[in-house]
Amino acid sequence: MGDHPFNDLEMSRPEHIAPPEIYYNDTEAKKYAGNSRIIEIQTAMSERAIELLNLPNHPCYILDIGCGSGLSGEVLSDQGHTWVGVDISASMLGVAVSREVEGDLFNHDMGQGLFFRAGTFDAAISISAVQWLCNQDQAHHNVQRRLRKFFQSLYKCLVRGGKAVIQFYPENGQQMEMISSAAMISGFSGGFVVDYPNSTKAKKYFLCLCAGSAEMNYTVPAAKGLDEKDDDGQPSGIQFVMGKETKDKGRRKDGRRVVKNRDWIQAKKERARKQGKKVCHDSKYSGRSRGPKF
Amino acid sequence: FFFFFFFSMRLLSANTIVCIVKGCTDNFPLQIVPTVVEQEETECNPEFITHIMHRVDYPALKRMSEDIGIHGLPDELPADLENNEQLIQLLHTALLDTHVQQGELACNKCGRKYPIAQGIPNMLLTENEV
Repeated sequence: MGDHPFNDLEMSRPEHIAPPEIYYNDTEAKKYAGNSRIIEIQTAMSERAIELLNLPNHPCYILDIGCGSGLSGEVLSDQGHTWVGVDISASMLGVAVSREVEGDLFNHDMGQGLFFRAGTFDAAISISAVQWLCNQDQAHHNVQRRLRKFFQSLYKCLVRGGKAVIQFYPENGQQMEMISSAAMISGFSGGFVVDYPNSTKAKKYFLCLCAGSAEMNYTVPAAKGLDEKDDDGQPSGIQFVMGKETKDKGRRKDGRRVVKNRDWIQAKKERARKQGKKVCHDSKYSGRSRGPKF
Repeated sequence: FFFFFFFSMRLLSANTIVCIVKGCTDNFPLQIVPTVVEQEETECNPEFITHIMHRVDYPALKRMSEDIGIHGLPDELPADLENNEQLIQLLHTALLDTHVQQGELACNKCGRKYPIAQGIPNMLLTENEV
């Protein structure tokens, strides 16, 4: 699998495997309840998303889009907020019920548009959910229309000046563009905050939106991990090395040489002899260069 | 199965829902047809109640709570809600401690019914309702 980069890519993109209501079946949903690594990552991202919301200093009414098993909701409850969760997967909601989360849960497809009254919520968060909207899972689905419907209904159900922070895993630049432009068309202002942009693993995308007019002067919060002196235990930026390709010419990724010379061949033969394999005898021709070709 | 009797749809979120079937407008509030209702006492947060009451549609809340069997809400909300501790407690009970466990939400305009099972309303639409 290692030498086939696309295999890894497919594995980490469940939205390529099946639609969300099918992918998150009872088995997959149980993983969310029991896997401590998933819980840790989801909780950390939820905390960051709530930090980016920059909420006022009183308990708020918050919408969690794609709440799943309620991991992000628990963070909201811990901070004293009341929340409502929406998810398409009945199995995931079942896990949320068994975990006794404090929010109200609804089984709904966000691509059909949210069903809340105008100006209901102080803010909205969404953790690792919106990338699912970019897949055409059914013949009658139109990705652009579903995205617009989602963002329009989200804009409507937030109070004026209400903020939404949407964390997701964009597949490519085109997808980021598609999602953010759907948000802007719906009237939101804001943009992306990319935490730890120099790290492959810690890199996280947050689309920070504000439902309000341009006069409110919403500026997107600053990203983490831009400064090398970041001291909160997270990996600090890994510098991008220019001209890496030319510098490593003649070597593999792991630093081994591509050229196999006489020493390399003899070492390999010696190793094989020790293992009791049948090995050709050494001669003056072993590992000799073949000279120039016509 | 004990967890089925814990948290489920509260009147606060019922107060925020509209029907989104294509072409159906002016349909607030949906009617609650409860079959199982649970009461779960939680700590009252007066700050949140006064904050959220600006957004709650009061006539709809009063009607819904009477449908469910909570009486005693005044006909109109007093202007100085912050100082009325008793009413805040009553609103807290109605909004946050009352859970509809089973039943359905019905739209009075188009007649669409959204079933509530295990406290989770199913708001999924079919292809031609979008």
